[in-house]
Amino acid sequence: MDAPGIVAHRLVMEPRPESSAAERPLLCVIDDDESVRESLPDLLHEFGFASRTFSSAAEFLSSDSIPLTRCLILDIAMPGMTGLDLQLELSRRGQEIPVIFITAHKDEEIQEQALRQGAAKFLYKPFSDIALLEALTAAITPN
Amino acid sequence: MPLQLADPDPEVKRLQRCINDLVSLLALPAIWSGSAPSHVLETLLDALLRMLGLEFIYARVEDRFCGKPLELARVAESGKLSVDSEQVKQIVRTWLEGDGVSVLPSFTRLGASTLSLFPVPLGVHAEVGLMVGGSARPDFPGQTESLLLSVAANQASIGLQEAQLLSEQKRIANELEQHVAERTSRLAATNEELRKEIAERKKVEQQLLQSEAALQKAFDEITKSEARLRQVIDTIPTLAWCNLPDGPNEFLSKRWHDYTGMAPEASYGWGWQAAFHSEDLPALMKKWQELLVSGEPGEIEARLRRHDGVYRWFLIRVEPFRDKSGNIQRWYGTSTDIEDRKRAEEALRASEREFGTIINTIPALAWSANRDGAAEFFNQYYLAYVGLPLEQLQGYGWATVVHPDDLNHLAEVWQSCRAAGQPAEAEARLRRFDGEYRWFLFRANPMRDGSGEIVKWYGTNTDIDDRKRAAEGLRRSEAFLAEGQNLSRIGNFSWLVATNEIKWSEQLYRIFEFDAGMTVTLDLIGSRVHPEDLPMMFDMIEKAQQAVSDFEYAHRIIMPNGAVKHLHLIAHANRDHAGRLEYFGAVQDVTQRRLSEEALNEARAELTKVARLTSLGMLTASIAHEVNQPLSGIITNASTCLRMLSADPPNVEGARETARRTIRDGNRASDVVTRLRTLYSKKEPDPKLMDLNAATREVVSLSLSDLQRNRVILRQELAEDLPAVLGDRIQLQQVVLNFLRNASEAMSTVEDRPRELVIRTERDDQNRVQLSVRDSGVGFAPQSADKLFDAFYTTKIDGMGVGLSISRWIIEAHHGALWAKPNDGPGVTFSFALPLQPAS
Repeated sequence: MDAPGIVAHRLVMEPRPESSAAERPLLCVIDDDESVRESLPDLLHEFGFASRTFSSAAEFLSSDSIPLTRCLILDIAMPGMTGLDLQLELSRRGQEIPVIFITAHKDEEIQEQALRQGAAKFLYKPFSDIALLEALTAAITPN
Repeated sequence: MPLQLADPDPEVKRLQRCINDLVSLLALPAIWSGSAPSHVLETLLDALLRMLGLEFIYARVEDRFCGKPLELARVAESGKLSVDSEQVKQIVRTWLEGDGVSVLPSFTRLGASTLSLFPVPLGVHAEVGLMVGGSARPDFPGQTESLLLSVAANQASIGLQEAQLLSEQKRIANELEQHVAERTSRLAATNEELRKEIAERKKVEQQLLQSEAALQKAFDEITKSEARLRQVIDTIPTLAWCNLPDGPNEFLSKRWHDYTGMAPEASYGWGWQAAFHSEDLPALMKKWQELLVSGEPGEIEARLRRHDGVYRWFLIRVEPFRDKSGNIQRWYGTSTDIEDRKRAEEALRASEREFGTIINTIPALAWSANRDGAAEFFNQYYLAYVGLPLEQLQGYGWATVVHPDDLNHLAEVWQSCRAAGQPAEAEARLRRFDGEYRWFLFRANPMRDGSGEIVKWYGTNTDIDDRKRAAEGLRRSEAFLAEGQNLSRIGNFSWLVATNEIKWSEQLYRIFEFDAGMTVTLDLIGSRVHPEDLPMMFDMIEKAQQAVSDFEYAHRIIMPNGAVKHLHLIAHANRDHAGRLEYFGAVQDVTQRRLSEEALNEARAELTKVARLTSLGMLTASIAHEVNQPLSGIITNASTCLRMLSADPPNVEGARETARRTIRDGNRASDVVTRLRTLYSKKEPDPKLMDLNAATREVVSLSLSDLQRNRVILRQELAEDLPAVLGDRIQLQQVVLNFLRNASEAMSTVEDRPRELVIRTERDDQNRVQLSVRDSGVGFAPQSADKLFDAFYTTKIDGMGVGLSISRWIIEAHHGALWAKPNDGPGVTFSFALPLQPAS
């Protein structure tokens, strides 16, 4: 199996054609892990969201999805720009998008930093669908 | 003449009498002409009294006829009454006021008599007055008597009116006379005045004439003196001139004309402007206009053209000349040649500038003070350094920029040097404009005049901060060196061969366990040297004394307590300042290293296991992640599957797809576990023909998470047709893993460039299969290349440097080679190569 390099940017595409993307809130999933990019969109669709996936932070930043994104589901450990870096960059650009971090590594420090930078939620892989849904609801619904 | 008849009838006689009376009455006015009213009345009353034979007669005349109301009464002398005129008046008044007046005739009792009273008005409505007759006869007045009374009344009125008129006339005439007299006197007075005025005028005219004459005389004088003045002006050795109050020139001295070569006709009025330099003329004219307006004296410098065309600088000065009433009559001015002065000034300025430049260029803070010690001058350098203006430093203001801790000492030195009159110097810190203090060497020198008295002090402050800091730095580095030597167990020595003078650093004393400061001799050293190594030492000493070359050797020394130390010595040959041979060197206590090297081989086998376990420790983290990934996928996909099936209607297609993914991920997870089990259980090297690419890929997938966590960008360049090699898969994978780990760690501090790691397999030109791992990390110094593979050499913080030595051992066991080389860019490439055909 070839390890993914950051050479080719492949945009793993949109939600199912039969769903009207206009009514569904758009979530963006950024993770270099292919299985995440493969499995999450369907689950999010079941939750009632539209989603787009990106394999790197740079890919997301150079896309036109930023203004449309209601919430980000963001991996932390990625080659190039990490999830935390992306969160900072967006904040610098004035784009206050709620962020849910997903990561496999249990690291207290990183978790604290992410929450300090304003992350809505921090989930460890593997996470249950319920946990994700709760996180999304909390992130998107204004208090 | 009265008519006389012989024995007339009594009636006739009466009538004659009456006519006589009438005639008399009619003649009265002629008598009265020119008389006063009172006279008129008197005569009338008298006449009537006689004529009518009255007892009394009274008359009253209104005041407008005679100036005041007149009242007269006459009493018949021959009458029966014994009253006087006053009483009569009274009686009449009473009677008039009473109401007897209206009834005529009226009777009134007067004593024993009864009188008949009869009023006779004077004037038509009694406006002139009233007469009242009083008669004893009861039938008074009869006809003729009435007639007489009326005529008398008329005559009286006429007479009174005439009298009034006359008196009026008289009055008017008097008034007129008075007016005339007044007028006349006034006219006379006015005349008098006019006469006086004329006399005055005449006098003034006289005076005027006189003063005109005097004026003319004065004017003549002036003209004469002007001429004299001109002479003077023409003679004095300056260009003088005179302008009119509104500006144009009236007169220029002869010298002016001679100098400029301009004729008077050309210069007159405004023509003189042409003699001035065109660049200076605008300013000159502007100034001139200003002065004309302000009336103040002034001056300006301008270039004036000489007759030969040369322009020279002149000082133009002008002053107003005022008359007695303060009005400006003329402007007088001079133009003085200041060309030489100006040149001198410029030269002075230039030399001052030069001096200033010099004094401001010398890289020292220069200052001067008067003999009392108060500072006067600071050069530009000084001012720029402290960032303060001159005024703030003068006097004793400079004390504020001296460091408070150094000020006292500096002040003392300054005081004592002034007292002694000797140059002096002191070190103190001076505050720079940005607040930082720097050390300066303050030096002061006295300057004396001809008699040896000190007139000024001159000084410089030289920045010695760097030197001082360097000195401090030197001290510090010396201290560090000593410390460093202590830590590294290296001591220094120097050996002056000619005299065998040996100096040791502290650390060397410690190594040899001698007291610090003891005199070191070759014998002293020899006393510690291991007996077996002594011959070698002597030999070395001999060689060193003769030849001038560096030397190095290792030997043992024995401590008093019997402990053995291994020493490694290096010395460099040198000539000291007098040309004598001197050796400088370092001695390192390498006992530890020796010991460990001797024990290394025994430890290697154990270390292999340790290395594997350590790698496994890293693997454990990788494993968790590796398994986590498929697990995450499984959970997500399975949850999705469930939701899709619970939908109404159920999404069977989606459910099928997610279920497929779940199974795939489940298999993936079990693959990982299987692989790990295999990796863990392997103990003996088991060479088999294997595909290095496949093995590499496995290792890569196992370490992927670790690499990702360290933000390493991995590139695989695995040759497609790589031949199989004979090798122990597990062990070779360990080497690859080790390379990957090292590469990742080497890049762990890299922030300014991508952390790129390239794994490459290829068939090299020596018929070997080569694998290399290239990183962009911090690299290592070339001289440590060999040391890398030493068992305990490590630059890693966690200290386990065993990995690379194990790797080399493994590769060498495979009859291959392992090496490391720095890249052209940043980082290092670690490589190993395995022979294709098994060596014999």
